[in-house]
Amino acid sequence: MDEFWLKKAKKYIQEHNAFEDVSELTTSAENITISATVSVGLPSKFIKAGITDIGVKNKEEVSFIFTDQFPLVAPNILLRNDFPRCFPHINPSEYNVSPCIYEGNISELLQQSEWMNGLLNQLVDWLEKAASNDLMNYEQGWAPMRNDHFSGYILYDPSEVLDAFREKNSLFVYRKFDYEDRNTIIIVNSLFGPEKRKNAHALFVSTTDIIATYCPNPITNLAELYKYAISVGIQDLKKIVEEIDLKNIEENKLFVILAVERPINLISSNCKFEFLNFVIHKSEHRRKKKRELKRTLPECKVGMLSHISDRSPELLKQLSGTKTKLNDKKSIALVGCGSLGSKIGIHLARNGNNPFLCIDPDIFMPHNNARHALTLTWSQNKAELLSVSINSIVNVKPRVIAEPALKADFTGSRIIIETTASLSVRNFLMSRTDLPSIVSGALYGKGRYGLLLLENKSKTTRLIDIWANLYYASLSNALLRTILFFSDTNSVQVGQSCSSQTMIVDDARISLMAATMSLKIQNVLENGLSKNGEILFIKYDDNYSLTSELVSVPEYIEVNSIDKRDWKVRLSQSAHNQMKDIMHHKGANETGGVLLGSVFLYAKTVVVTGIIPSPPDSIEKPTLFVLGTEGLEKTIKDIEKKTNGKVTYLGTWHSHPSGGTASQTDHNTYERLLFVRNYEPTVCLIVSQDEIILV
Amino acid sequence: MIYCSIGDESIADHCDVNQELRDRLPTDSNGRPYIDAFILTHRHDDHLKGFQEQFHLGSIEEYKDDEEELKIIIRELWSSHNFWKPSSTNYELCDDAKAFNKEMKRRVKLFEDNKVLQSEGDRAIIIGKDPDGKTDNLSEINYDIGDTFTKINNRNISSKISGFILSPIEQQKNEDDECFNDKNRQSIVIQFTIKQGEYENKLLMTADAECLVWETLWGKYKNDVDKLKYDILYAPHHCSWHSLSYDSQSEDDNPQICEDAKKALSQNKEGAFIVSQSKIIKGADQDPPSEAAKDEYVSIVGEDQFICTNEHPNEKKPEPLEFNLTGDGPQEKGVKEKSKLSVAALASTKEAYPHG
Repeated sequence: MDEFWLKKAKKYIQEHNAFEDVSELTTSAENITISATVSVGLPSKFIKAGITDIGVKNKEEVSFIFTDQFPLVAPNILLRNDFPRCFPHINPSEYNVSPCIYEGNISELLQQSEWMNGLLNQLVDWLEKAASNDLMNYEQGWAPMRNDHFSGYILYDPSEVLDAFREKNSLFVYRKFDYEDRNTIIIVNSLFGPEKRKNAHALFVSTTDIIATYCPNPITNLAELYKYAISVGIQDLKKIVEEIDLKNIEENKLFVILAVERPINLISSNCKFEFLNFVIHKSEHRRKKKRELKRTLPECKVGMLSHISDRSPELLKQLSGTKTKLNDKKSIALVGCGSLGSKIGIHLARNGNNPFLCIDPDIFMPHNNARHALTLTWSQNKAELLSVSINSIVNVKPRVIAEPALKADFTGSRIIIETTASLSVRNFLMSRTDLPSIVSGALYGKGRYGLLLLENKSKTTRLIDIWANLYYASLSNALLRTILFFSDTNSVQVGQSCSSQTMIVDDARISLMAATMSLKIQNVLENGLSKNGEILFIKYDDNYSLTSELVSVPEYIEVNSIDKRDWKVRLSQSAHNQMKDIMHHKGANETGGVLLGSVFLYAKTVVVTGIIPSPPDSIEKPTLFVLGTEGLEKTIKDIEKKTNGKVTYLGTWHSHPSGGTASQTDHNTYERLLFVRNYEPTVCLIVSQDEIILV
Repeated sequence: MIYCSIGDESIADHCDVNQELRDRLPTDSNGRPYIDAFILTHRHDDHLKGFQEQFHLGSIEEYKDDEEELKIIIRELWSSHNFWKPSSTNYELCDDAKAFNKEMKRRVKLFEDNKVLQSEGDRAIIIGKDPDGKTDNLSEINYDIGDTFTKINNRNISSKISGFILSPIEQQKNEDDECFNDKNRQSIVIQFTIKQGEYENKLLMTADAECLVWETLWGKYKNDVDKLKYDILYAPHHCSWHSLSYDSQSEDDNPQICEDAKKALSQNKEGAFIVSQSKIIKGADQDPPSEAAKDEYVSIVGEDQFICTNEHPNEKKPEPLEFNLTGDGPQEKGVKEKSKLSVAALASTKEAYPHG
């Protein structure tokens, strides 16, 4: 053992103002001990006696037991064997009292700049609190009963047990529990491998009164358990235990869980009930004159088990620090369970979100291992595999549709998260106006860019509008054009006869994008969608980081035609404002121009996103507007070239500054335009002060 | 906070009062340090040193969040009615006292103008009735001597805390104006009761009140000694001899204790502490603190229960003295040892080190 550190530790103890009579180093085979006396300030009432009513002295002996791992590992701190044990915050120990002086790991505390002084200060503080009987810190919460005889772990959901008490209007709940006996440690309820399962039952019993006295676990046999139960107001435990024993006489164990109500919530919990978990090791199976004899005898050994919370949405919400809305019956539909969708789905599940609806028609193939959230996989449908993993995380099994989304029923969903990168799925979603709000995510440019498109809260700005808006924005944004219109998929050979159209990108980069998108989607799940539609642009920088920008999408309005046509026309608010500005500028004369926008065939929708001002050879009079042609062809060609034809000439608009419906001339022009355009979707708009008319 | 004295001396040799205070202060939702109430007992420099430097003065709207060391917000400011009294040749005020008075006037004016209780940071409480009647219409923010209050920062916490205002008592017969108007004579004296469970922790905050005040208080409360009981007594006027005696130690041959004054200061409960907030007490040639006064206090509570702040835990390195007010009376808290490395670092700054 390194003398240097031990000498230094001794010096710290000697120089600390609360410590005196510091001993020399006492060496044994495994460790080295330094003993000292601590001066403890007592409350004024006890100063004269030198000892508190509970038994804390103004001078307390303490031993620091060092191992050869010191100072990476803190010394064990022990108080005298007869130090009162009735306090919380004492570590389990059978001999000498080991104060729990620090909320975390004291070896970590030792690594701070205070070094040994950190430990010594905490010890003095702990002793002072013991002297003033303040170790139960009501602000921190109720410290659970200390268990000096650890027997294993037990897993269940306390809130579910409390609900069962309420539902049955009973103080007793009794149910089947499985366990595994690993010689000295008992593992209860789904913490073990299924092949080692043994059957038993568990009895949950609730107190009726609030029990405000702390006491460490004194229980080692069944007689003591009965006595303790009576002390917290549970009178009938013996009778019920014996009844259950006789009903399940073949079983070797019985679990008894006392739900004791405390005056305040338990530490780090929002529950006032402390669950004390006991395992009764039943005695030998005996019969007398063919009659079963009870196996729960007073001398039966009783061990105490530590409770472990089962995975649950509440637990995940708590650990993730999110404000996840629990108990929502409507599902989160994951349309696409591929690399991006699986990662987003797993992130959301780990925050406690549920339930999910997983949709994907594809089978998980070996090449999918290059990029995916799942690890334990085989050739099964991706939606089914993802649902198994989500269930294993959040303990709520997702519904699965192992088919294309095109036939899916979304009536039970609250949001659709689409990550298929499939144009047909996108077109399907854009064609439907009756679906829940859609969030659509995809990667571009070999994973350098990510786009997350979000409809608005009232679903008045729809996915179709956001796409039209993106196409229009790309006219003045070269980077956006590169992202949207240059194919970046490669044909990758994944077998002798198969190839896959996919993007070459590594898993980490998809994870970066998926994580950022998940943060935004989590925000949406907690707070709802925004008033406006939104586009989240994400860019991977060369310095291994991301930059992102959240852009609000202008509002769109649907323009109603006089006669109900098959095609719907949607108009961006900003294009409409532009038209009105031009109209006002021209005064009494009619004016007009060319409508730009995108056509969505499957959705039978035309979205007008912008305008081109009237060419110089146009004629503008109070009752007539003739759209000229000068330079128009070149302008349109340029626009189509830039946007791969996604932004195109949709038709014309003109103004009626004084109002009025479409004239015969207007109808004739529309027919002419339709004919010239070979009856492709064509729009003629009349804009007046108060209305927009579709010719 | 009853008073403060935050100097700007180098801190390597003594306690860094400012830092110790700030380590203990809570911060509000804007991250600004605050105290619920500041009770200034009287206007001597050693009771409000650092007031302008460390505390925010003026309206909260003027608070500067970009300062390297944020100013402390005083949610409610308490003072005797003397804040209206201007500085003069016979009544000189230090700069911090002038700033204090200005802030007090600002807060009181807000109440006078609007007739509604000011909000936090603008609130003020006046102790004692102004002889010229200035407090006549301010009853909502004014306590008289002999009153018991249970509100601090406008929160009624009568189940936890109450304060009984003992002094500044009225001018006594045969007491001349000069004596009555002396700053120490005008000290606010309060007996605080802080309940913890069934126990009432009594703190007697004596400020710089001297013999006449204690003698008079004994006359007033000798049949109701609960009003003078204490678990912790602050030895008046930094353990001054003149809080216990009218005689001069240097000029009188046989200076006598005023028995009534001592009786007023002897209503100690079991295990009570007397704390001298003073320099190191040694030798009889300085006052305050006075060694003879200390002897008197030791005779009341015993050597172990008398603590001088500048000797705590030792003369070389004084540290804050803290009490935990428990359900069994006050408990002296142990001193937290600091990181030896930071202590070393501070020590290294004491002198210049030449390097060849």
